[in-house]
Amino acid sequence: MSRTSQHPSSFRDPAGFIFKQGDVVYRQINHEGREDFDFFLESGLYGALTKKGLVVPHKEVKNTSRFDNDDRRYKIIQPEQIPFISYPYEWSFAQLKDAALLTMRIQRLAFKHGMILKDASAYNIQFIGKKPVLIDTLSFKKYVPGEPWEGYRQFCEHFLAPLAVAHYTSYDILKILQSDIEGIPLGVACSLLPKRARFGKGLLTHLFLHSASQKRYENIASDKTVKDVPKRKVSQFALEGLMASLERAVHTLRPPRQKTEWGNYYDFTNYSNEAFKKKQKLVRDMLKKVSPVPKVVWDMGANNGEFSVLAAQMGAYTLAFDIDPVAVGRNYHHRDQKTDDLMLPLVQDCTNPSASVGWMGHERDSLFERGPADVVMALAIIHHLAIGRNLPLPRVAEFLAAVGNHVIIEFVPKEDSKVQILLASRRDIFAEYSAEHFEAAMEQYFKLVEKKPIQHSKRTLYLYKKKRIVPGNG
Amino acid sequence: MHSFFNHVGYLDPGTGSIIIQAVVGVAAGIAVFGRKMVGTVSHKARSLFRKDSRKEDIE
Repeated sequence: MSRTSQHPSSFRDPAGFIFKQGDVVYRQINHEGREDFDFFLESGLYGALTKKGLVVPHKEVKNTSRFDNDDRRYKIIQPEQIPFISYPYEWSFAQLKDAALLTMRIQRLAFKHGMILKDASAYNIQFIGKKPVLIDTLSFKKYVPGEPWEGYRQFCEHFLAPLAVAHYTSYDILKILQSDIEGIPLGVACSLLPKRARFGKGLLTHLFLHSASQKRYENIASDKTVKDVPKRKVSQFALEGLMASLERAVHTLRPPRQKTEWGNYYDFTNYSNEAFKKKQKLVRDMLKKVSPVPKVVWDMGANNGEFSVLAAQMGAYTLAFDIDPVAVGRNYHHRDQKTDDLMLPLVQDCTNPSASVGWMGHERDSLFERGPADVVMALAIIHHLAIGRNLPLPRVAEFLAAVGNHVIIEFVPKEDSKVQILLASRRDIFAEYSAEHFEAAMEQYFKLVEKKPIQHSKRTLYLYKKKRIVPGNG
Repeated sequence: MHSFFNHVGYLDPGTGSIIIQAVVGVAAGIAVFGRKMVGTVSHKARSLFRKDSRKEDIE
C-alpha cells in the first residue's frame, strides 16, 4: 500500500479533503459531509452539472483497502484528473471573469435543486484547456430557507473586487492575487477604485456598501455581547436577487483599455511570411522528433499561441505562458474546437515565475513544482532574457533544465533587428551573447539533438534533450 | 452568527456581509423581478401586435 498524502491546500472544509496516491488525485468525503454529498447526488444536481460540463465528474472508489485507515471517512471518489492546476493570479482578465460567471451559473442551478454553494473560492475553478470547471464536489450544501449565502464575501473578494479594480485601473492589479490568496479585501478594493466606480453596475452595493457594512460590524464582538449581534434572515427572493445582481455586475466588467508591450506582437515581427512558415514547419518537425511522444509542452513566451497550437495539434497538453495579459487574453479568446481542450493560456513571467505560497508556503504550488514539461519551447525570447533582463546565458540554460526534459529554443543573434532595438538605448555589455556561448551554456545541461537555421532569417532553431536530472527537480 | 442556523458551512460569512445581503437582496430581487416583468409584458405586447398586423393582412 503506497502512502496517501493529504494535499497541503485541502484542510479548511471538515466535509472532506483531496489527497494523492501516486500520481492520482482522490477526494475523501468525511462523515461530516455525508448528508450534503448524498443530497448533491440524489437531488439530480450532480447529474445536471456534469451533463453541462460545469463540474468535474467523478467515480466512487469501491475498494478502499489500498488507502490508509481513516475514521472520518465516508467515501472516496476519484475525480477526473485535471491536467495542470492553475491559479487565479495566472489567469487573464477573461479567464477570471469566466470563472466568476461559471460560479454564479452553478449557484443558480444549485438553487433549482434545493442546494447552495457554501463557498465561492476562485481556487475551486480549474481550466481544462480553455474550459473552466468546478472541481470541488463538496462545495454544495442543502439550502435552508432564511439562511444567508456564506460564500458572498468570498465571491466578492475572489472575483468581483479583482475584476472591478482591474477594469478601472490596470491588468497589473491581478498580480495582487499572488500575495493575497484570499482575494482583494473589500476595503482595499474600495480604496483602489475611482469614485466613478460607484456608478458601475452593482459595485456600489457589492463592494462599497458591503465594505462599509463589514467595517460597521467588524468590532462587534468587542463592543457588544453575542446576543446583540443582529440576527438577520435572508429570504430566498432576496438571495436570488442578490445573485442575479452579482452576475450582472460581473458580466458588465470589461478588461481595462490598456496597451501592453506584447499585446500586438505578431503585427510587428521582423519575419517575412516565408520565414514564419519555415519556422512553423521546423518547430513541428522538432516536436515530432521528441521521443517518447510529448504529453505536456510548455511554451514560454507563447504570446497569442501561434506556435503553442502546433504542440496542441499533436495531442500534447500545452501550457501557453506569456508575461503579457493582453496576449494571454487573446489566446484564450481564440477558439478552435480541435485544440481548445488541449491548450491553456496563462500569465507567467519566467524571470519571476509563480512561487509556492499560502499556509506553510505549500498551499499553492510553484511553477517548478508543477513541472517539468516533456518539452519546453522558448521561441524568440532568449534575447529578451539575456539582453532585456541581463540574465547570463548559463542561468537561462539552468532555468530551462529545471522546467523541461527537452527544449526547442530559437537563438536570435545580435545582428537581428529585434536585438538591435534592445541595444539601441543602452551600452552593449553583452560580449558573451553569441551562438557559441549560447551553445556552450546549453551543453552544460543538454545534449544537442538538432540544429537548423530558420531560412529567410538570421535565427537558428535548436532541439535539446536534457542530459541529467537537475538537483531538486525530481 | 452561526448559532441561529442549523446548517452551517465552514466559512465565516461575516456579520457585515449577512446584513448587506438581507438589505440589498430584496432591492436587487425587486429590480431583477421588475426587469423580468417588463421584459415579459413588452414581449407579449409585441407578439400581440404582430398577430394583429397579420390578421389585418389576412382581412
